[in-house]
Amino acid sequence: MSETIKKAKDSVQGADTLVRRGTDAFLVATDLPAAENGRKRYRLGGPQDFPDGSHRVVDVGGRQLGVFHIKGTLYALPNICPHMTGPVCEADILTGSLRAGEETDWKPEWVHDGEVIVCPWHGLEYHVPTGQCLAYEHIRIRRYKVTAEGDDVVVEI
Amino acid sequence: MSARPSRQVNDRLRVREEDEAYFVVLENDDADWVVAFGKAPDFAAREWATNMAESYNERYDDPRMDAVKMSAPPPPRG
Repeated sequence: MSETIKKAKDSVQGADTLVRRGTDAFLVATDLPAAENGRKRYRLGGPQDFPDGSHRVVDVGGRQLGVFHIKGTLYALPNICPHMTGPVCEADILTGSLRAGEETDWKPEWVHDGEVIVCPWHGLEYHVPTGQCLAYEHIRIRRYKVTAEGDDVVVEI
Repeated sequence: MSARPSRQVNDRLRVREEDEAYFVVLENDDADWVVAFGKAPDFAAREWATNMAESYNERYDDPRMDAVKMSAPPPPRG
């Protein structure tokens, strides 16, 4: 087994990337005063609610956002898949993806380790830090600005 | 923890066209977009965007709220 394939298998060992998280664990964000640019702001929770490597869905003003803490940076994406509108942020784990192309002489390489979410409905993959769909280069999910401000994790919509 | 039913997006969706892409936006807020489908000769961006909005609106308008809650079953594969 090549090292690349081993990495791919190890990343999902013991987990099914298509399993959805439970629906009873959503945090509920609280309203904050609007930002100077007029955008709505919400407190998602505290830093302890989003430890590094975690991801969870938060109810933000009646809509659902997936909040991800990947390698020290927080990201938030809408919980809707561009394909058939499935709950893309409810996938069980963050994984990576295999890529092969001319630049790798068509040999598969493991990329975006721990940065890829797989929609539990039909399996489309998205790179969380960019919102980019990996199968279709022209599809991009919105990313919301998330910041840690003291004891508050805040999102702007 | 949340006990209230929430929706993936709390509004119907529609498509807004710009020079470089079709944006799927909230029906009542043009600036509040969720997905961008970039225009390209080999990519049916408008069709993708329209399908996304129509698929979600169909569930959103369904009087059975389960259709838009997270407990909704996925559509068949394929």
